[in-house]
Formats: sequence, C-alpha cells, structure tokens
Amino acid sequence: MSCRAMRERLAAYADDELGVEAALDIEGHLERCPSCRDALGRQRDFHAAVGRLYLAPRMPDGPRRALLRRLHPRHRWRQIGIVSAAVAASLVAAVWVLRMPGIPADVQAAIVMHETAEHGTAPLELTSSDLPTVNRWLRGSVPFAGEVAPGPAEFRLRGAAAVDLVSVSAAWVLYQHGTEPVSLFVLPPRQLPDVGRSLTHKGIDFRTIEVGDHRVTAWNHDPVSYLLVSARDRPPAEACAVCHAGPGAPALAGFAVSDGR
Amino acid sequence: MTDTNVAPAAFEAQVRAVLDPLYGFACALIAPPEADDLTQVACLRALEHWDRFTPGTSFKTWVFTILKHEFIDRYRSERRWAEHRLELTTPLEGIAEGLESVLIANQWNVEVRDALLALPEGFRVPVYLKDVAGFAYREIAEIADCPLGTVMSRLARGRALLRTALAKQATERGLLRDARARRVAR
Repeated sequence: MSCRAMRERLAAYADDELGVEAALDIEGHLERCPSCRDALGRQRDFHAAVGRLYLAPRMPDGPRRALLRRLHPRHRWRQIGIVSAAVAASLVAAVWVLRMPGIPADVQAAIVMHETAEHGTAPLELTSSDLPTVNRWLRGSVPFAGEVAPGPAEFRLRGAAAVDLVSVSAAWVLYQHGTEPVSLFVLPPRQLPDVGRSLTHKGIDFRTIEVGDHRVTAWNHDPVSYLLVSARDRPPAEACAVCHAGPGAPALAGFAVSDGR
Repeated sequence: MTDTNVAPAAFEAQVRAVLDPLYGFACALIAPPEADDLTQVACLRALEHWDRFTPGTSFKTWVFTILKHEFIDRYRSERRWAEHRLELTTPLEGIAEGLESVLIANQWNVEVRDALLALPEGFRVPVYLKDVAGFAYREIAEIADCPLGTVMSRLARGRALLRTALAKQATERGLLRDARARRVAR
C-alpha cells in the first residue's frame, strides 16, 4: 500500500472505524513507514486535543427547567392546575395587588407579571419563538386558551406560562417588540373590568386601563377573554398587532373610543 | 404519534441523559438563544414521535437526528452563523508540528471552540459529532443524512481546516514556528 493510499484511510484507522482486515493492512504499512506513523500520531493527538479542549456548553437552567417541566407529568396543568414557577410569580402578584387602588386584582396581577418580563425574570414555562411550538404547549398545558395567531415579524414570541392572576387561571404568552415586552393573557370568560376607557370595534367591547407606565387592554372574545399589557407610551393599537397581521391591519382601524367610567 | 400531554418516564429519563450533549450540538449549529429553542423543539418533537423510536437503538443518535432536521427546517436558510469564514485552501501536509502541545499547554478552549464553530456547516457538523460528541461514522451519517463516504471526506477536510486555522493563530502569536519557514531553513 502506498503512503498516499494509506493517508486516505489513516483517519478512519485513527478513529477505530476500520474492519479487521483493513486495519491489519494499515498496521503492516505502519510497521515499515515512520512517516505514516508520525502522521497517525499527529492525527490522534489533534483529535484528542479538540475533544478535550472544546468545552460544550451546559444547557442554561431556565430553559432546562422549562423543558423538563414540560415533559414531567408532575408539573402538568392537568395534575396540579398550575405550574410551580408561575405559582411563585402569582404569589408575588398577590402581594402587590393592593398597590393600585381601584384597579381589579387580575389586571394588577397581569401588570406585575408583565413587569417580571421587563426585568428579565419572566417565569416562563416554555421558552420558544416558534408559533407551532407555543400553540402545542398551550393545547397541552392550558387547554381552554386555544391558540395564538401569527403576528407580524416585529413581534417575536418569547414563550408562555400558565399563571394564576390572583383568583383566575390564565395562559400568559409573552412577545418582544423591539426592547419592550408585550404580554397577552388568555383567561376564561369574565366580566370586563368596570374601569378605564371603553372602546367598541366590530361589536366587541374593549376596555383600556392605563396604570403607571403600562396600558392594559381587556376584551372578551368567546369562549375566552384577554388582557393585553404593553408600554403606555406606545401607540394604543400597536400591541394589538400580536393577534393581527400588523399594526396597520384593517381589523384594528376605526376604534370608537368613549369614556366608559 | 404520542400524546404530547404526557411524557413517558422512559422518555424523560432518556432526555435528561442527553440534554447537555444535545444542547451542545444545538450551539454548534446556531448561536444561543436560538439554540435554547432548537433544543426544546427537538425534544418536544421527539416526544411527539416517541412511538417511532426503536427500543434497543441509540436514543442519542435519534434525538440528534431530529434536532438536525429541525435546524434545517427552521434556521438553515437564515445562515445565522457566518459561513466560509475560513479560507478553503488546501491544508499543508505536515504543517504545524507540535500544535497539539501548544493547544493543551495554553488551554485553548475558546480558540478551539471558535475555530470549530467558524468551520462551514458541512465540515463543522461531522467534526463536532466525531471529536466532541463521540459518534461513530455511521451515526454521523444518520444524523447528517449523508452517505458514509461523505462523512469521511468532510470529516477529514474539516479537521484539516480546523488544524490549519489553529496553526495559523498559534504561528501569529509566536507559539509555533512556521513549518514552511522551517522547511526552507533546512
């Protein structure tokens, strides 16, 4: 066997990928050829060095926990009704509900949840920007919530969680719009909050409630109701785009606004 | 298709065992945070198709294959990793003698990682799967969905490119003498 032919098979030999006969052929050549022995040594040393020095990253704790919760029956919605990280966030929300007098507790809790996203500590159960993945998760984890619609590209999905807005269970779908998070909470049917401004569009009643730096838009759309939390200083219809084709979509045009208080 | 509402205990145990290597492979394909998503999606897809997994075969190979296909479906066209950052010149035979000692002595963890991730995807995948993840050629062929001969040629080429890139860095930093200069001096 020539050295040239040898070199082509040396890597497979170094990787223990050759059959017995081919390996014996190569070993016969190696006994007679110091140059190929050196080449083999270099290859093995190099492969070993790469394997030793390349430190493959460990999956970060947040996504790891979210995935394992997603897989582990003990943490599933059906068994215990709510997931542990969301419980912790819900407790935080419950502690804070009294800070906004006159604002319904679930709206306050939604704002507190949203603030965790602003601070980078959102207790998401699923971290994903993939719409089918988020919808699969919603179907499995918060069955009443249905599915979320594709929004425009500038609203990037960040993930979802099952949460407790003080007294009502909800699905939380988190988006990112530029530097601002946008939170969509899907709740069972309920009465609209009796505060804020009233908006009627295509037969659907909306309430917009502005609290601090946030705007909460609430509406019912059988069989569920929604709370949409976004930054107050952004245009009112902008966040609505998470459920529409874009900020300029026809379905968003022509809100009739009146004072509903 | 498996009911995605319930992950069988066996499935969860298998996922736990391979989660870090799987995430590492995702990071070799695409930068975080997309690698987080890719890993999650691959595991959920594996759960969906858990009934298609053949007991007695390698779960690790199976889920790596799923992840690779998810990557192709979702990200490949976007080319998030800059491709062709290495010059695809023919590596010099015999270049950089003693390179391995330099890499180990200087603990070139970052340099090795960066150089490997800078390889074009076609070379990066087999090198990662063989030298980092420890798969056999036939398993790499399954994951990368290509013939065994292609795996061997791309692996050889990828390793040579990686070696050339690291040797170049080592030479530029004065840690390795230029083999060509050495040959001229003889």
